[in-house]
Amino acid sequence: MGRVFLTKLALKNLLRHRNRTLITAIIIAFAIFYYIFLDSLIDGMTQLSYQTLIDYETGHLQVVTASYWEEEQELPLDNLIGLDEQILTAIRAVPGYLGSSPELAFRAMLSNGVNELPVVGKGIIPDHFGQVFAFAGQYVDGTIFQLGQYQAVLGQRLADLMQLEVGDYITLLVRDRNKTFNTIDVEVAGLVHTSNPNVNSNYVYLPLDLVQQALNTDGQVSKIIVKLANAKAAKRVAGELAGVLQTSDPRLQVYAWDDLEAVTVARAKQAANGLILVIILIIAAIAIINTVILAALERMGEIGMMKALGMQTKEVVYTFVLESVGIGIIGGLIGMLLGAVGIWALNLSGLDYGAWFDLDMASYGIPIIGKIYGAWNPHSFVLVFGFGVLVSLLASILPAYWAADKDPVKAIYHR
Amino acid sequence: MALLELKGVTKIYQQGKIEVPALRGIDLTVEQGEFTTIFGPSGSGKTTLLNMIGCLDKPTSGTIIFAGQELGRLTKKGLAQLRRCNIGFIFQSYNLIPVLTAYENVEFAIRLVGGRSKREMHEKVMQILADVGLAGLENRKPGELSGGQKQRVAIARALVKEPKLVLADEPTANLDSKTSEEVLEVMLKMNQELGTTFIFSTHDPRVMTYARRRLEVRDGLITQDTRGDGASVSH
Amino acid sequence: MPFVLKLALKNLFRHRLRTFVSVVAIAFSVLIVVFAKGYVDGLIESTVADHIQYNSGHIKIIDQQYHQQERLLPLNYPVDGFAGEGLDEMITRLSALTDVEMVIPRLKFAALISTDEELVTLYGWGVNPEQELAFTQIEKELVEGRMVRPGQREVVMGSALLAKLGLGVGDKVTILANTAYGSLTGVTFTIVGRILSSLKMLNEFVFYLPLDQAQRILFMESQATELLLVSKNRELVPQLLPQVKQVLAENGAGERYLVLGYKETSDLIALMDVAEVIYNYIYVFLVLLACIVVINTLIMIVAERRKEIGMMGALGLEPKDILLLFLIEGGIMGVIGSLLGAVSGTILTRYVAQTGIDYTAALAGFSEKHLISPIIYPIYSVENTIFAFVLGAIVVTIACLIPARRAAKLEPTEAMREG
Repeated sequence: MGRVFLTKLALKNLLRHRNRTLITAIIIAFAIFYYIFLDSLIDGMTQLSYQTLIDYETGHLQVVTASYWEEEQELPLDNLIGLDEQILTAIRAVPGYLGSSPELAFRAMLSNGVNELPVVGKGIIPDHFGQVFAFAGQYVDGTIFQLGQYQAVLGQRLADLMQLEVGDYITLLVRDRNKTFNTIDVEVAGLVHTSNPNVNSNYVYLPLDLVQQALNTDGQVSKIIVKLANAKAAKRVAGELAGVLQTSDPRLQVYAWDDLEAVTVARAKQAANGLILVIILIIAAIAIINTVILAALERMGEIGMMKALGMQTKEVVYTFVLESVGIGIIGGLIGMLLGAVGIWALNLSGLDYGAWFDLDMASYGIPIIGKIYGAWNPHSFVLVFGFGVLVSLLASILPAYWAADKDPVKAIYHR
Repeated sequence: MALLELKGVTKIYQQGKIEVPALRGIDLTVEQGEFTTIFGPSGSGKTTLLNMIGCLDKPTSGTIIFAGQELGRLTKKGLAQLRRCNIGFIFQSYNLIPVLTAYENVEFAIRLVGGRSKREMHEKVMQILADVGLAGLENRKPGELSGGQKQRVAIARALVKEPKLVLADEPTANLDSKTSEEVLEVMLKMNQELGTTFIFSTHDPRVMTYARRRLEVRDGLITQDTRGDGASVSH
Repeated sequence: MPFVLKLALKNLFRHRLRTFVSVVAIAFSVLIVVFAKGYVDGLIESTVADHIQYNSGHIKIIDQQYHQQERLLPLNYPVDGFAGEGLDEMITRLSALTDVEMVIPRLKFAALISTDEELVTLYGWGVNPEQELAFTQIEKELVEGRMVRPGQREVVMGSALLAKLGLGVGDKVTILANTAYGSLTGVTFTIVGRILSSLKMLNEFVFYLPLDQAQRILFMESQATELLLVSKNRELVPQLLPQVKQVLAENGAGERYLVLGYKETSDLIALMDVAEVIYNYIYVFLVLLACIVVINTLIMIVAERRKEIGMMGALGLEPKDILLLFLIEGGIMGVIGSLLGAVSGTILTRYVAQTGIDYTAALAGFSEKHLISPIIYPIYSVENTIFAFVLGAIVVTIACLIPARRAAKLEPTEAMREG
């Protein structure tokens, strides 16, 4: 019998029990809605945290030595890079270059004379720093320092905690390259408040020359951070630049922003998210099996008649499976629609974590402050839709065989 | 007083926007103890008339008085209570509950009436099953009974509560002629022994001969009313 | 009406396959509910227990100013008794409260250890060893050596911290700290024990030392940074709080010290309380999804039995009885499914409660200051089993109202219909 005819038959059967079709489809719709919505939220969160990282910490590219990169957590003072003109020229020559900023990062104990707190210090060149990072306009009080000045910029939250104001003096206890203790005494020149919680409460920015002197690093820096015109090109540009740089210094490596493992919690959430999706889809699969069984029982006589007329088992199976796929498609479409509406509604105002709970998201590994907006991810729509249809198809095969295998004579006199 | 009186009864069904008149003015009086058949072609309004007589439905206009009660004044619940005690039903396709035994199917009807002790109910059910010739088959389920046996269970179910009226809708349509006769003999016997009024519809001319009064329905009207003695009253 | 019950039961066996599928759907969702509840309970219980043991006790008493700067672990806002009477007198007076079982002083301070490679920052916890052993899980987590002893220059450290320092039990270590007067001091201790804890804080950042030693080296005789009150159980906290506040007020320290219940010192516990409520709605929703299967099935069964339902109506069964008949039919499916789900969910929970679920990798980004154990052991409880069972049975029965009403609305004339 023609496939076209059977397909038509399956379609008509779908419409025959509109309520049942719709009710079963709703389960699939919910699973798909749930996935799309949460996926978008987590993705929005990820993108936001990448953005705050790019704007305030990592730029688009980071030029470092490979051995430094491995131990970056410890902020060691070896495996540094010199600011050779050759390297800087190569960096400036990359396509879409907007600016680059060298940075010398180190661990320090910050003291206000009474209390101490471990912080991360960063030696920077103010002019270059401004080209790469979005600090302009984020100053709550004071401003950036100049090279050679004994001044520092730190986050407002850190300052509040240490009860510091612009004009106060702070001491940073450090160990230089030779493991000797040293102190850096500076005046607070500016306080910032940004959307990056690390900047707000953990970092202290100082003039590079001052830091190099205190740490005894001979004009070397930990890394050079590069800002590009096009964030998407970062990975490609990184590869090219690494090739060029390695001819002058083989230790050098270039890492693009998307190499960072920015959001660990997001991945954990995604796993949990996937689990709930699986649970709902199992219920959906049971519902599909149920629907096929119900439809088959109802149409026993009809199936018997068709088989008596010479329709083959596999053709009967085909109509039932197709019917279930139809339910999957309807559920998928409703789910995608709900998901799109959900993301749209979310993005009308954004999700303000801070307003709900007084939580410091940074301590959960999510470096963001402010509102979260859902991301539009066409591939997750397609993926989960396909998944829903596939589940519908697989779940229907066995009960369809069960229905189609009935003896035609018995089937006719089923009741 | 007549058991049942219909005066100017009409029934109009609404099918979408079209009004379909099923009954167009029926006047009928049925006395206690009658054994009456209603016949007529499909779509004549026969089933609708049976619904009215059996107090399953209310007329669009006209009055029905059953045992002195005007049906139009009763609620659905009132109708249900009236049917519960006074009217027994026998259906064309038996309509037995397949998961219950013959005994339980009959018990179902008498339980609805209530007011009897368990023992009384049990004796009554056993008695009536024996009366219709099903002694020894009480514990069989409908699936294990023949068509004639099933219809006997249905008759027992209709009679167990000693109703004033038993209404049978094509009781022999699914039976062969020999079984049909047996079933009708049982009905007739009950009519004579218990004095129960029987009204049944049928297509079968041989079945009609058992009836002492024959009503012909055509196009929503009673067109013929023949008594067993041959006297005919035209409407 | 037991007859209706009997009939409903028998009807279930009329459509064994359909009944089976419906029961499986309910059972599955109820299983998930039992497990999820046990899991959330386990998560909350372990978080609350860790928070109480290592941070707040049941009630925590600290200086008002200390509260503002707790992250810095300042030493200039200690708890040092009432009007200079000293800590011991304060502990004695608080211990006199009937619901207080233990009063635990802790002196927490920031410290440094200098290795060849780097400067390691860590937190020192000066404690009364026997109280800690009695109150916390630390004894279980001491995998090597023993707890510190009062009066001895001894420390106990976490495994990850020791690995970072390249030291082991038996080694000596010099620890630098700022004293209460702002001077830097260095003291050498013997490492007498090693802790292996799933809490990042204990494993990587904390070292225990005897309280008297901490007081001595920091020049904080008879002082602590915090005082923890432990009660018989944490449910007593709301009634104990005012009593404690009164004791402080009577001794003229009501303004100076803050008295905080364990919930007030954790933003996470408040969040989890909210999450638990949200989860309860999710459970109902899950069961509702399963109900869709039951509703679909019953709607079809009603359609199939139109004539039978009509017959029962003709015989005088009232609509409410027919409603009841189908409610019972659905309700029995709900009860059986929920029972199976509740039992299998309980078995699953009890099994996973032994093995635990490890989230170490996922929680790597969490700061050590959250006392969250990355291994979650679901808690099996009879309440959860009963909750899920009752939820399943009730929600399914209510959902069956939809098809049951359909059946009840059928006219008795259905019985007379042909075909």
